[in-house]
Amino acid sequence: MFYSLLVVGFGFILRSSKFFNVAYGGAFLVGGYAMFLLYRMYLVPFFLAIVISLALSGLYFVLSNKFIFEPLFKRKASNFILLISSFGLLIATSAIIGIIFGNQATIVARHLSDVSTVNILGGALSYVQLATFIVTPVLIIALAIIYYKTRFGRAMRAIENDREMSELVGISTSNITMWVYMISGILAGIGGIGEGFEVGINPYAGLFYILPIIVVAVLGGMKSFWGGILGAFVLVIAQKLTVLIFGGSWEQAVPFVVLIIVLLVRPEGILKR
Amino acid sequence: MDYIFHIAIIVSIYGILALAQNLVMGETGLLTIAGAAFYGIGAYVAGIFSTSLGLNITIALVAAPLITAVIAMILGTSFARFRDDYFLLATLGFLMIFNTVAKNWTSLTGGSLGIAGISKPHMFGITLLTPESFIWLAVFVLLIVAIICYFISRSSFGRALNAIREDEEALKIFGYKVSTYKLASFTIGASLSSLAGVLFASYLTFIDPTLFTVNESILLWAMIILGGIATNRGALMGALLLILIPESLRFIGFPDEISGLMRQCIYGLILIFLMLYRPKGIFGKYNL
Repeated sequence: MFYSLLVVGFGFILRSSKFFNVAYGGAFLVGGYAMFLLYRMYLVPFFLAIVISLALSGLYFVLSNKFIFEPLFKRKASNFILLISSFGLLIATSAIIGIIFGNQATIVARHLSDVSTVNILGGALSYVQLATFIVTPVLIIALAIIYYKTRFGRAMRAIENDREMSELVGISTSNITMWVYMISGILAGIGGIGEGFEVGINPYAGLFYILPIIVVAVLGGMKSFWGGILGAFVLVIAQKLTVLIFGGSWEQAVPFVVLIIVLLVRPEGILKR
Repeated sequence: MDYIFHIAIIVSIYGILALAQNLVMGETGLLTIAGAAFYGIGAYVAGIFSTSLGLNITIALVAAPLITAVIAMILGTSFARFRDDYFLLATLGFLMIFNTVAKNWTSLTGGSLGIAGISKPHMFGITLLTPESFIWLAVFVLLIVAIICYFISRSSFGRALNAIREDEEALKIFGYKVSTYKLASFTIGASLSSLAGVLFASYLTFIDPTLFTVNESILLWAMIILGGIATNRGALMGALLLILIPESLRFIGFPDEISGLMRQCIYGLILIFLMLYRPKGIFGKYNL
């Protein structure tokens, strides 16, 4: 569930700018730590804090695009350059966050009630998990509607197909791209906040999560909206099976074994478009 | 004084790594992030040879490149069909798998506690205990690696590698076996990196999985890009600068935890600014 939301946001960026923008992990961190700062340190009310943190994570991503990726795009820089600069940004972001907040895991939850559990259908779920189960499908459906049914979504898909052509037919590509970055930044921020409540967020979480997300995006087929979500489910199932068979400590390697297998066997992913 | 020797040793170790990375990424244009994995394999070979098997580090210096070469050969053959981003993803996958194995195969690698008590190298009847004596070995290995890299980049083999970077298809039409060249470059690069790993393990006498993560590979990227990609002296210069600049932070008096993060931050920012304003690096002749 968690991955599927994150991968949708990552997929937007991947498809519109055609490179693996790992700075997505930076937006994840910004969201989580902004929430920590506002909600836990400055005691801002819950919903206001969420709104501000998400705005900040979106803003982070938009600004990173404005000052780093867009100038590079204008110069027709290779994917290689874009990738390296996004890696640079992610590392710098996590280091700066580490300097400010310290290296240890930081729990965002303020009250005990924030982390209490509810029993549903015989299984105990924390509020965060419950919220994930409700929020994720709603958001994904909303995004799918935006993506497939609105003018904005059509422009997005046009840019994904052919950036220069869409510019020629009068779509304001830089404007649309800005909003795409905003949306994905917000999605990453949601992930960061969820992580902060559930297990605590640390400065390395950005890198830690971005790698499986890339795997999921490749696994599902990079060109399709639903493929990423399918990839997320496949990956999580593979992970849980590994935990059952080999034990929990091998869980982290699963995405990458799957990645290599998929790249070797079916590089276009599960769903083709 | 010891401190200066210590820095010199670290610079030589990273110099080896940067040269190896430059051979693969700079000369051949293979986008690899597995540098840290081969470095780690070298270090673990040294660690296992010295603690579990009780062998001398000098043997590890010979064995590690061979073992790594075999691994790199297998990997290279199966990754041969990937280009650019996909090659990067595949090598990233390998690096993460290496990290997980190093963390979890406790009986072999000591798990997340790592391997401690790796012996110092013992050769010609002398044990290289102090940084002062160790520096000779480090510089010697660096020199050998530098000479190898120098000859490769001057040879017809090196020119073929450069041609692969520029236009793989054209070279194929001329009848070169492109995949063989790529495999050779990848394998040589990997073995050279493992030498650095052996030196590092026996110098520090302690290794654990956190030393060989993605961050380390990105540091190698930063080094060769700062120095200028596809130039050997650029790689050495990059290694020198990226060790010295963060090291100087120590004298400003930050606490250790902060200075480590500062270092990360500097690497990240250097990468971004280089990409934005001078993708050629210092000695660059080749534009990415």
